[in-house]
Order: sequence, then structure tokens, then C-alpha cells
Amino acid sequence: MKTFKDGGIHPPEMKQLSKDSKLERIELPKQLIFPVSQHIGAPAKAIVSVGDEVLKGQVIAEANGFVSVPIHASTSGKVVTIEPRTTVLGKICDHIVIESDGQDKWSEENKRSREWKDLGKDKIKSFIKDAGIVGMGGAAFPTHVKLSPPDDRPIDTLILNGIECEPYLTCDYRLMMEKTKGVIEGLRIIMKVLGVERAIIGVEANKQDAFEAMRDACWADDGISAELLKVKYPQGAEKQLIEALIGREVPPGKLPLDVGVVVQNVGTAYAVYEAVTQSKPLIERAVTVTGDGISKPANLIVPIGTPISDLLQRQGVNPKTKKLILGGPMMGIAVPTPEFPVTKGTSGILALMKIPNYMPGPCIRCGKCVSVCPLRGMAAEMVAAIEAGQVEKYEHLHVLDCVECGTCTFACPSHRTLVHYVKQAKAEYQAWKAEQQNKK
Amino acid sequence: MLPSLMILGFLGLLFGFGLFIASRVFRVNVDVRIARVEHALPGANCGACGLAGCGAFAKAIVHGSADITGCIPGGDSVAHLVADIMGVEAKEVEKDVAILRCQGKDVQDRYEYQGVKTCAAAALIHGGPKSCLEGCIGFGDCCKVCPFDALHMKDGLPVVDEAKCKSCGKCVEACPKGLFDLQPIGKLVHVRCKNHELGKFVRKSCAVGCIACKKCEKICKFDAVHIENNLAVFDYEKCVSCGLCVKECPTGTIVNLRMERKTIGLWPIKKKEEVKTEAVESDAAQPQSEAQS
Repeated sequence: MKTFKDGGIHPPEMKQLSKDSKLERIELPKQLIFPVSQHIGAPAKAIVSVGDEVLKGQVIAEANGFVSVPIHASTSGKVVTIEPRTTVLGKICDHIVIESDGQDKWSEENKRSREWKDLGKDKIKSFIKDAGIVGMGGAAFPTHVKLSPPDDRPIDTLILNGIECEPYLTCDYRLMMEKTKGVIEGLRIIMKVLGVERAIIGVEANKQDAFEAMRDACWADDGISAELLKVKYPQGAEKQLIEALIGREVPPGKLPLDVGVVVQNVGTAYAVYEAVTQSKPLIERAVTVTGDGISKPANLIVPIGTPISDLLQRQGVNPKTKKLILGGPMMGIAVPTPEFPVTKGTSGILALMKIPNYMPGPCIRCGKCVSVCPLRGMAAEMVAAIEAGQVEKYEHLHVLDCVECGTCTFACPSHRTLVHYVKQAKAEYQAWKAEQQNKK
Repeated sequence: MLPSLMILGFLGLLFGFGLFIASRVFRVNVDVRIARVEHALPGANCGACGLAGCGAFAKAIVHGSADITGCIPGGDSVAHLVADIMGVEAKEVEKDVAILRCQGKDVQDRYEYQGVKTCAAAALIHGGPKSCLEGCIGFGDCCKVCPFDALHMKDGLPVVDEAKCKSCGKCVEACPKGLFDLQPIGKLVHVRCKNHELGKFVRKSCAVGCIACKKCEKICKFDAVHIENNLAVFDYEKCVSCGLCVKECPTGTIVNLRMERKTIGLWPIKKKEEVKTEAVESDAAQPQSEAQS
């Protein structure tokens, strides 16, 4: 079995908690919260005002630029407030709050179904853009941008990312098991848009049944193949997956499309399928609610905008829960309160009771972080520079290429929170760079 | 014996002549005043003057591209010493000190913070663990950058040692919440809060935060305090440090530093002559201490 070459770790998988619970649609929440900035790129611009009645699937905030996507109401109801609040990432942006009217009435535009094979490339791309689809793996990068490679960089391979290497999370696994046809159909649509002949579906060996389901669904296609990969974190990171599957290495500072590859998540493929064939915008997504603080771990289909507190209550949260994480335990973001909503990039909600209280010690220069880094970064050197505030060294040490996968922090025997240093350094570097440019 | 002496003697003469030529041809003209000015400066290389360090600043003074009062940490005394060297008259400089705009010692944590123990890193995670989003985080980034040992953590808050503070502004840059402010030593009354939330939210997180009750605004006879965006803000041009608002403030957010400064001898501000004699004394003491070290 293939895998990427350097580094990587094997954190406890913990997927058995929610692995066998089928995708379940939740009841309509009473209130939905939509931050206008749910994706990478320019925040969307709110086009509704307080007191407006909105229908399910109606655009409530429109794209503001090319690297931006619109946001749709995920149920029918009334706009109660539009106010600036803090997002999960600590940015302050407008939040549109909608009170549901309980009828869940679709808007007229979203009732058509289409046959995608008759449509042209640009037409499909515009459907994807209008549906507000972003990468569902967690980074939430607008999909139509990824599907518009510059003309001078031909794409020859499409990779469908069904790795889900984050511990605990199982929503992609359930999607592959239950919505197999939709995912494959979505993959075919993306292949047509990109005009590629070859597509590879990557699945890790701990999801043997999902691999079989995908393989059986696509055996008739010449171009599509499914590949089983050895379990290793962070195999789901774009650059590692490309290296594992086709052996191409993406240089630092470059994108997968520079080596002729586009990587899409299975959740994204399914969203594309729904958007193009059923004209359904991205208004719901699969979310894994799990952790030892949840009495009924489950995989849910959740309308975007649902407050996390609703989901926690539904699945029975232990009041002694110590830590709430949005996303997986390796790369997810810990949140202080459950008031945040599910956004387009939320793949999981973790409620953890047992959290080790490590005391970070000094660096003992053992080099463990260097040997596990999938990008062959020198984490120890980076952090030494960061602690000394040597901003001018960051670029040379490739601090900015770090994908913050958390491998080094997991491996550090001194329990140093290395990724946190890197996050701080990236913010510092931006400020420093801006200052340098002002001086010139 | 003799030939070797001759050869060595000849070589010695040759090299000596070479050095003589080199010293004439490659001569660098140095202004002695640069060294003297540099000696008079505090030597902390803090960068408060806007230049790379004390050496660069001394050069800039002698070349006339910097003002002789430009050394903020050195203040009046250094300005006078430099003025003597340069043979000009120095203007009176009033010393500034750093003022911390927070006194929330007992602010509760919103969450358990386990990350890197610096304010800059903590501020990235939902604005820091404290329930007041605009207050002091308390990991002491400011204390670490202070080149004059004038900042120390006490009960979770940094305390400015005003006798040592040279107003270089390093703490102003280091604080991710922007809680420091440089104000003249003559200004005694300050608002110790920077929270712009509504009063009811401030109350929840902090007992000594500004609740924007406007009492200070009403009592001020000089039109020097105004509530701007739910926070009392001083107009220091108008404020005469009378202290009326201090008594009126229900939360104790506005403080009067008169007594504190009196005890450490910073207030009332000394006259020019006194400063000059003191400076001369300290200058006489300086070379000795350097020789010891």
C-alpha cells in the first residue's frame, strides 16, 4: 500500500465512537446564525435587511469578488438581526441571524432538476459558484476558484480526497458509504469541468468498506480508480495526498495545480452533485458530533447556521465537558462557548472530558518534530527564531509554508505547543511585511 | 648575527613606513564629539529616538539630522549634557511615563488556556482567556521587552515603576491589546480602562471597568473628559489634574497618581537647575561604575 514518504504520525483513531451511526437529518433549529465570512477570501456582502422574510435556498449574502462565494438561507424565516460578532477564527464580521418559521419553504429557483451531461463547462462552473460551494474538508476555499486553473498550467489528474485522517471524524466516511452514487456523480461533474481524463479516489486502509463501496461504484468508468492507502496522519493534507498517490511533490509556496493536480474532498463532490443536478445550494453539510463528552455520538446532516449548542443538546452533552473543538482534534479550533454556528467548513464537533494538562517544558533539541514533519520543516529551529522574535528569518525557515497539521506538537516529548508558535509567527510576519512595504 | 639583525631591522623600518603611508592615505576623519555624545547617552540602544541605537543617534546629532532632545529615555538631563557638548542651549523637556489602561486584577477566565504563555499568542485565541476582551491578558510581554526594568508583574497586572520608566515606548508596541499610553509626568489623573462595551457587560466581567455613566463628564469644569464609544477619554490638553472626577467615579476607574508620584519624588516636577546639578553628579559617578564593571 502507498503512503507519503517523510514524517507522519499515528494518533489514536477514535473513529469507532461514531463510525456506525448513519447520517441523520436533524430537526429544524429555531434560530440560525450566518457569519458572512465562512470561507477563505473576501467576506460575502449581506443583501437582506432586518425584518425581511427569506425562503430556503435564497441568497442572503452575495459574493464580493472572485475569491468569494454567496451564502444562502438554510430554511425559511425572518431576519432578526444583522450585527458584528466574532467568528471562530477570531475575526469580526457581520452575522445574519434568521428566526425559522417552521415551514421550511423552498424558494422557486431551487426546484428545478437538471441533466448535467448536456451542460457546458462554464455553465456548470457558474452553477457551482452560485451554489456557494467551498472545500468541505475544513479550509473552506471557494471551489469555483480551484476549478479555474490558469491556461498555462494544464491539469491532468483529479484526486478525490476520502482520507479523513483526522481522528474522531467520520462524516466523510458516512458520505462515501451512504451517498456513494452522488459522490461519484459529483466527481464526474468536476472531471468534466476540468477536462481531465484521470481521477483517483484515495481512501485510507482503516475505511476498507468505504473503499470497496467507492471501487464498486466506479469500476465501469475507465478514468476513475480507487486506491487504498496506508494509514498515516496527515495523509489528507493536499500535498501529502498527491505525493502518496502519484508521487509528485508540490514545491514550497506552490499549489497542487502547479504540478497538474486538483484535489477535492468527497463532501465537496457531493455538494457539487446536489448543486448541479438538483439546483440545491450549499445549505447543509455532514457533521460528526462526537467525543467522550457526548452520550450519543452521531453523524448528522445539519443546516448551515445551526448553533453548536443545539447539536450538543440533541446528542446529550455531559455538563463536565472540558473542551469543545470545531473540526478534528489535530487541526480543529477550540472554542470557549457553544454559541458559535456550524459553518461551511465545520466537519466535526468534539466535546472532550479527559484532556491532559501538560506543562510545556523547554526544547530538548531531540529533533522529533523535524523527523515527523510531513513537509520536512525544521520546527525546533522555527520556534527558536519565533521565541527570539527574529521575523526576518521566518521566510528562510519556511514558517509560512507550515500547514499547521499539529504533527510536531503531537510528537514533542517536551509537550511544547509548536503549532501555536507558528500561528503567532504568521500573524507577526504579515504585520512585519506590511511595515516593510510602508517603509519603501 | 649581524645580517639577521640588519634584515629584521630593515623589515621593521619597511613595515613602519608602510603603516605610516597607510595611516595618511586611508585616514578616516572622526568627529570626537560623536564619541562624547554617545558616552553621554544612556546606552540602552532602545530605539525610542527612531534610530538604530545610541551610536547612530549620536552620529545623527553631530551631523545635525537629529534633535538634541531626541533621546526620550535620557530626558532632560541627557539633553543638557548633549547640549553642553554641542555648545547649544537645550529646551526644557517634560518627562513622559507609560500609563497602563487596565486595572482588572480579578477578571475571570472564560476558558482554560493551555497555549504558549505570551500575550501575543494568547490574543490570537478568541482574544485571550480573560472575560474582558479589551483588558490585560497578564502574561507580561511588556515586562519582557522593557529595557529599563521598569515593568513588573504584580497580582496579574504589570506595574510601571515610574522612577525607572524612560518612556521609550517598547511596551506600547508589545501589548497586543494596546493598553499602554505615554503621558507627561505632570498629568496625574488617568482613566485605567479601555473597554468599549456597554456598562452592563463591563460590570459582568470587571468591577473596576468604565461603565460610561458620564458622571466624570458632568462634573468636569474644564470640558476635559468625554464619553466616547462607551469609554471615558481624557483630553489632556484641557485636563489640569484637579481630581474632581476621581472622587465622582463610582467604579474607581479614574485614578489620581499624585500621592504615588510624591512618594517616589517625581512630583512636584523639579526645576531646571536642580536637574542640571543632579545630572552633573550622576555623570561624575558614571565612569567609576564603568571602570568597576
